[in-house]
Amino acid sequence: MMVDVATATVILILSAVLFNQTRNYNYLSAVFPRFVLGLLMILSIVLLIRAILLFRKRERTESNFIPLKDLFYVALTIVLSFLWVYVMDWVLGFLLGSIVFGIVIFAILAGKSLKLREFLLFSLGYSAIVFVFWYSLGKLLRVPLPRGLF
Amino acid sequence: MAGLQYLAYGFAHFFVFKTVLLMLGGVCVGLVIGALPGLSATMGVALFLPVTYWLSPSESLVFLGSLYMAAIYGGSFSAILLRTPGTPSNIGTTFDGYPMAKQGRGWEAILTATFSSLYGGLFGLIMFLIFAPMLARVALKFGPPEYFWLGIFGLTVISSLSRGNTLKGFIGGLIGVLLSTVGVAPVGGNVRFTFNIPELIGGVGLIPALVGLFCIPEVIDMVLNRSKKQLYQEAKVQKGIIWKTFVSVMKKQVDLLRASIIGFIIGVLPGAGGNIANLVAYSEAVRASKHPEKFGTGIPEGVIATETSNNAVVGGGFVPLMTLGVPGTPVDAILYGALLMQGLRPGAELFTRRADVVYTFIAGVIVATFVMVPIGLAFGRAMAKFITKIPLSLLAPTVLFLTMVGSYCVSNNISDVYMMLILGVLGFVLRKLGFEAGPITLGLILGPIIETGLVQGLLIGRKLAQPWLIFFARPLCWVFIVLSVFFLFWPVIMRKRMIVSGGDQR
Repeated sequence: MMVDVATATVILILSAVLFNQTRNYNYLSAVFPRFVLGLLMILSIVLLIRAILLFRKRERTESNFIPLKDLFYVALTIVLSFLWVYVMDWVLGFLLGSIVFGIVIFAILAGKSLKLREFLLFSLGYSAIVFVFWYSLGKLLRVPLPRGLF
Repeated sequence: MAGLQYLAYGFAHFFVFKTVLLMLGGVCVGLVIGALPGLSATMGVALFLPVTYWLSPSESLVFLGSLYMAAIYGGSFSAILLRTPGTPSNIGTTFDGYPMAKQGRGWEAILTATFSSLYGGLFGLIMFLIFAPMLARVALKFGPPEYFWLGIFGLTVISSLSRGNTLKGFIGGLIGVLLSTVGVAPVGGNVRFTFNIPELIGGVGLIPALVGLFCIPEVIDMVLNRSKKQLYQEAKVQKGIIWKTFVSVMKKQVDLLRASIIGFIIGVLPGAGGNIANLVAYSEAVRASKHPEKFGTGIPEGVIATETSNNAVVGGGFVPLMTLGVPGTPVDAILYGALLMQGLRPGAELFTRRADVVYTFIAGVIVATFVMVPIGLAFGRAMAKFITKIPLSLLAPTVLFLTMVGSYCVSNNISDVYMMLILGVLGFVLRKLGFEAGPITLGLILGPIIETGLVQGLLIGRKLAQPWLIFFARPLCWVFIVLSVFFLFWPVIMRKRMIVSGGDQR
């Protein structure tokens, strides 16, 4: 329940900060966000009170924590995803960027158990999917896809 | 009678080799686009609009209409198999479709979605043919105060959507509404909550948000379960399951009719579409059920409600488009453009002057609704097999790639992809904290409807002593007020009734 206390506090503080920002807007722009933020503050106070009451009663809920090793893989995938978008846009372009990063993430997630034959087979299949999208969107439907440096 | 004659003419005009081929093409393209996370029906129709330049008006409309209908249905595949709605109209399908897939009943869920979509699609189109002019007049009675209350009524659906923790459901819904206020205010014109980031001026796009909130947490779950061979195991397919599921779906006539009516009515209202209809229909199915606690655990009734209603929206959306020239949903707006491009002016005159085009179009979409069943089943079976065969370590980057394509193609803007990733990570954290993606997306969808209704209503109300009185001055407003209060307190009423009946049993 401590998690709920922290969550409610964060929402409450954020709502107060945003509510303060609405002072810079004209009436028609501010009326709705104020209404929503007001409601959000009330509900987060209710959540806070309820969490404190449950905490006092020592009611325990199941833990949602992720093991450190798994957390590393999650963080790595997220960082690689952002890097993927950046590199695809500025350096490698849609086709090459998607193939390279997709295969890198696949290899990292598959780990040491990955056999060379499987790696080659799946990489080829994945590359084919990317190619189909690149060709149908970029060439047939003329969607301006990220080009990178090339 | 004249309508039937025109329809017969429409069918005769439709069954020409080229038109049938275009309809088949539309269905196939629509299914693929709908099934891919992030590629919505709107995007599909918009992407293929230029292809129709060289077609005749009826051929062009048949192609785009078939694509639209099939894309809405195709969205159920990824909702069921990956817990990622293919289009915003399939959000509710994830609630029971994905648990069914995890139980090894993915094929049964796809079959249920297929037959429900067929029913809803046909219902919507038939209702369009019968009631179009009459309903168009009712839709025009909706002004800003009514839309405000319609949005509030939509938010009360959260009480049914949030399983376990209604308070967190409402907080999630308000977070969604707050996200919708980022960017330029629709009436006041101020730039809000952008923190001087220019990319936020345009606001938070629905598709990037939808893809991020639903899909990225799933990808992260795949990373956490990377040692598993597959996402889930598909149970052995029983003999005759297609017929059995068809019979079992058709036996639920009350559920089908309720969802179809909800979908059609919401479709008729300009500004509301399948994204709202599927959630309202789901909420109503929960409310009407004798076992509301089973919803969300993987029961066909949940899939029936959402998939029937979202396809019924298609016919409903044609009502204001064809009779008044008012496009109610983004897809209808593109179809409106397609009509103009072909030199046709949508409105009442379209029915009298170019009845040949209108009725050929409707006949084409009716046939497409039937044709999408066998094609969709073949496609859905292949997709289910693919997902249950490939290892999670490869599925994760593949889904990640599709999410990037989906969010990029909305407006060919790379900042949408960043937005999708950021909201995805936020969605994962919020899910861990007990805030589900369903209420957040509902808030994001309804936010602009409520805000525009509120601000425009206040402006209209300036002629009254107190501007806010306008929200209580019209009869249609009171219908939504009563419904909202009823829906808001429905879980409490149900709990009381359960306690009372439990006490009686004791």
